[in-house]
Amino acid sequence: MSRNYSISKSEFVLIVVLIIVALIVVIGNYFVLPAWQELSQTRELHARQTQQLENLRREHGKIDTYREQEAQLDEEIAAIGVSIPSYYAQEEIVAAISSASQESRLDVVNITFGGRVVQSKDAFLNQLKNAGKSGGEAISAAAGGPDTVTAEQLTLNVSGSFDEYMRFLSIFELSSRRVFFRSATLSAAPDGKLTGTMNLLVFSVGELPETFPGYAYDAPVPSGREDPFEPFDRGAGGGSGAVQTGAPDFYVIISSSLDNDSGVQMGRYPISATQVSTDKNAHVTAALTLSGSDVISFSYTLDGKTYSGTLESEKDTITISVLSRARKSADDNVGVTLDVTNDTGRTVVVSVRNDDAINPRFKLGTTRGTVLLG
Amino acid sequence: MRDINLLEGLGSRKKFDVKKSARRAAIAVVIVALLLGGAVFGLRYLNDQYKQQLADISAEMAQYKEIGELKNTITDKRQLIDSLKVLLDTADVTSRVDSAFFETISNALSSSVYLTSLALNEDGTVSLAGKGVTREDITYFIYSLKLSGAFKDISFSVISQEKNETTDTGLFGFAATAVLVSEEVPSGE
Repeated sequence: MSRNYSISKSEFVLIVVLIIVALIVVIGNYFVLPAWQELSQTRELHARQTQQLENLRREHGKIDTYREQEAQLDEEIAAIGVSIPSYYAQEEIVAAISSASQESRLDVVNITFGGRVVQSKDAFLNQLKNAGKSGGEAISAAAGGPDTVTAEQLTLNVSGSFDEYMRFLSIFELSSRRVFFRSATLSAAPDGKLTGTMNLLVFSVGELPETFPGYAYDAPVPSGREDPFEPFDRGAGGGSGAVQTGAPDFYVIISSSLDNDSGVQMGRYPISATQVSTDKNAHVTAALTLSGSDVISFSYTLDGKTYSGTLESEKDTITISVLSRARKSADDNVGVTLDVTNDTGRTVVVSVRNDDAINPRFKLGTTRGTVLLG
Repeated sequence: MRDINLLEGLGSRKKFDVKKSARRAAIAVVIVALLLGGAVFGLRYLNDQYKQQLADISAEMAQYKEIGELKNTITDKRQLIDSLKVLLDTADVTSRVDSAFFETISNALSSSVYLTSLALNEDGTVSLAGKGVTREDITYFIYSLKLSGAFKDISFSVISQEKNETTDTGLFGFAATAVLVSEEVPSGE
């Protein structure tokens, strides 16, 4: 290159333009563009967060509604908890069997316990659905989850008359604590006495308690013995130990119009003297009124017949068991609509069993206070 | 007529001044750099402003944290109720021994037929054995059971004549099997 070379104007302009372009590219690429991208992301996040905040403000305006919903759900869970408690107590089941045996006069000769099984809810459902079939898979679950099912099957050897057998079944059908009869065998002796077996399933759902046993049982305080092997004197000492476990406070039985005891029966469980009934082959109305706090005053009316009394209970819930029998024909119109007035501050749980799914015999009418269908 | 000097233009053309042009170019480059720097500063300033607003929004959202927890609790409780109901319904429809079952059997019997044994298994299969005055009485019983709608399959296993030689009276023993109509098991979906 010659030493006298001087840059031309167009060359100069070209170089300057190149420098400016290079500057723009470098600063744009390393500073402006990242800053722009960051700003865009922040703006998008801002827009989303603003929208979320608006939603939250709107939702927060309805917080009282949500609190009411939560309280209602708690009551529903409590109502289901009456049927299936969160703990499993063999004592209560034995007490319930003993009480039902005494009440029905069916002899329960032997109770065999199948052993407590803790499973996941899915494994338990699978076992129920595949009961009696091969291929049923029982997967043991880690104990302690909210979906943990604690179940036990019991086999009872029973002896008595058919009436006693049916009364025994009905007592459990009316009971607020659900016990499921899975299978049964019956044999009749020439004198009409029945002997047989019943297979029961009892289960609870919930986390296993941290402390043992995790529930309170109404057992008498032991007096203690000096010699634990000394036989007891006949008829001496000891509490009755009879605990009405899971027994409902009131019952309603809706029978087929073809039965001898047709119509609707309503009463305070288990006192039969308190029963009012109607034999009409029609849908009738009934009303139950409850008031008071410590001692509950009750009054129920069925088809114009009324019974009143008082009820002492420390339970938080008052249970009404409704047992509906199957219709025998299309002309069977027996049914009842129950109005419940609850001025007690406790929760009334109405449990309906075996009702016609298409054309229910039982209807819950007008209610006041906390009344739940369990 | 005016003279036209064609060389006058060549003489008056200015000479390209590199130094002056370089100064101008440097100023232009600095201006461009300043503009770009300003843009970066502006973008970052805006970004900071948005971030400040985001912090305010987050602080306000934290005040409404309770509503989110409440909604999650409600969802959990609904799921728990649904799951408990599915459990109860499934146990209910798969447990077939109840008073209604025995009433169905009783209602199908006439005074000429009685049962000596009855078994209901978990899978809904039923075994029946009993006695009747005549074979017809037994068939009426089985037919009545079929009409009850509670069973989907009923069949005889045996009908045998039983004769009492001393009293010269006879009756018929029978055994039959049946399958209960299964109810729909809740899907739990």
